[in-house]
Amino acid sequence: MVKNTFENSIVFVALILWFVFALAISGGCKKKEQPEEDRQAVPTEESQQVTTAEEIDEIEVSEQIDLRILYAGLPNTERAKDFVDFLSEHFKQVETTDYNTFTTDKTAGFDVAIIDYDGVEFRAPRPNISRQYSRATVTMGVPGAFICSSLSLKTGYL
Amino acid sequence: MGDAAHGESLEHEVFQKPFKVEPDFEYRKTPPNYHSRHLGKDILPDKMKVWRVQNTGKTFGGVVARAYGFTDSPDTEILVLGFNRGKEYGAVGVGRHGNFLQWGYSAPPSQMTEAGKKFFLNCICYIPRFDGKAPLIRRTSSHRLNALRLAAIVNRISGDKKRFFTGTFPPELWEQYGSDPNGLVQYYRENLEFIYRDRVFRIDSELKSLGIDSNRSLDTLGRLIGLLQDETHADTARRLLARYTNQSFDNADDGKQWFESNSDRIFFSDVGGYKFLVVPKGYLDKK
Repeated sequence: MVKNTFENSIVFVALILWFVFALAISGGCKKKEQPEEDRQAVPTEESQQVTTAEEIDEIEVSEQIDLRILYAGLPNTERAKDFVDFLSEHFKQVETTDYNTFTTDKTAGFDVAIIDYDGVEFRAPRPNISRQYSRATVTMGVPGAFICSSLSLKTGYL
Repeated sequence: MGDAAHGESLEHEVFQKPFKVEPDFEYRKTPPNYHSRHLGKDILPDKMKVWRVQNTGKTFGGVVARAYGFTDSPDTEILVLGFNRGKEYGAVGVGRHGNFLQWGYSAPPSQMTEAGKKFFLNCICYIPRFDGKAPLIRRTSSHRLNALRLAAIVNRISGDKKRFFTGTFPPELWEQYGSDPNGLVQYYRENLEFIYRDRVFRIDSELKSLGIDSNRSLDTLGRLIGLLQDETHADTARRLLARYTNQSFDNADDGKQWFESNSDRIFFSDVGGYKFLVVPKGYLDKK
């Protein structure tokens, strides 16, 4: 009887110790975890693909953003590689096309088209873009401003 | 434009999500062009708060869009003002018009700052919201503030001053203001609400004669439509409605019906041709 009580006490104390230990471990992990805001602000190099469509404003650091990007740039240039490497790090799907042969029908199936020449050239060729074109598009630098000018946009070069 | 953006306000969501943009701010001497091109009566500060978007170390290479009239239609947004040495304070470094987002900076990502990279990524994430929303207006005219800007330089034109003047302002003003830029600026400043374009920057004396105080307020449109049933002023009102709208009303009732059914979606754009225009239903709905 006394022995059983003693054994029960040992088991009880062990359970309490295990519970306290588990609580401490759990709390310690939480403390080390960065706030959501910080995590979003510091992307990691290793990215994982999301398995379900996420709201863009809810993405986390380790996720690639679920957008399909078409980068229209100058092939085989350091600049294009720079962009594509960066974009691929952050977006789920990144494909490229040649700026010089860019046509708006190539943007079909993409969420965003990025049209980039070299950032600075005033006399860059201007892709033929109709006024009916309405794909979400980012135009880059001086050549981008001239594209906007040719479409009579307020974002154009004046 | 070089590497920097103005840092007055970072409240737009392109600074918040998905990545929080936390720039390192610095103060830079206000560029001389800001002072010389400033149209306000206030005086700009000696230094301005900016942050670097990229690190090329150059004061040129990028491009800003003119500030004047950039936001006079609801299809545009200024996302960041570009710190520049060529145009006015307020010129747009990164802005959106319809489905187009123009990134005025020149560098590739490896030369962007951490804040610049996050801002760039956020812009890419933001623009799909406007997929399918082509611009409502195109740049078909020059905003009224350009009248003041150009008036200020009439005596600094190298070449045929009179030709420049009469191609920009009504020729009848040449004698009085041809060599008086300050007087010309004052003339347009005092009549700012009546400026419109008919090849040159004109003052709408017809509108003024009706006792109306602006050619771009929604109240004005309502009053002009109402005047269609006033025999004394109907012809003038019809002429002004033709000037400031693309509508043709058979009578005042037609006009009132159009006005009432669209009044919450009507805007006036100088850049779009000095017209009252209507935003299509659903255009401004958020995706």
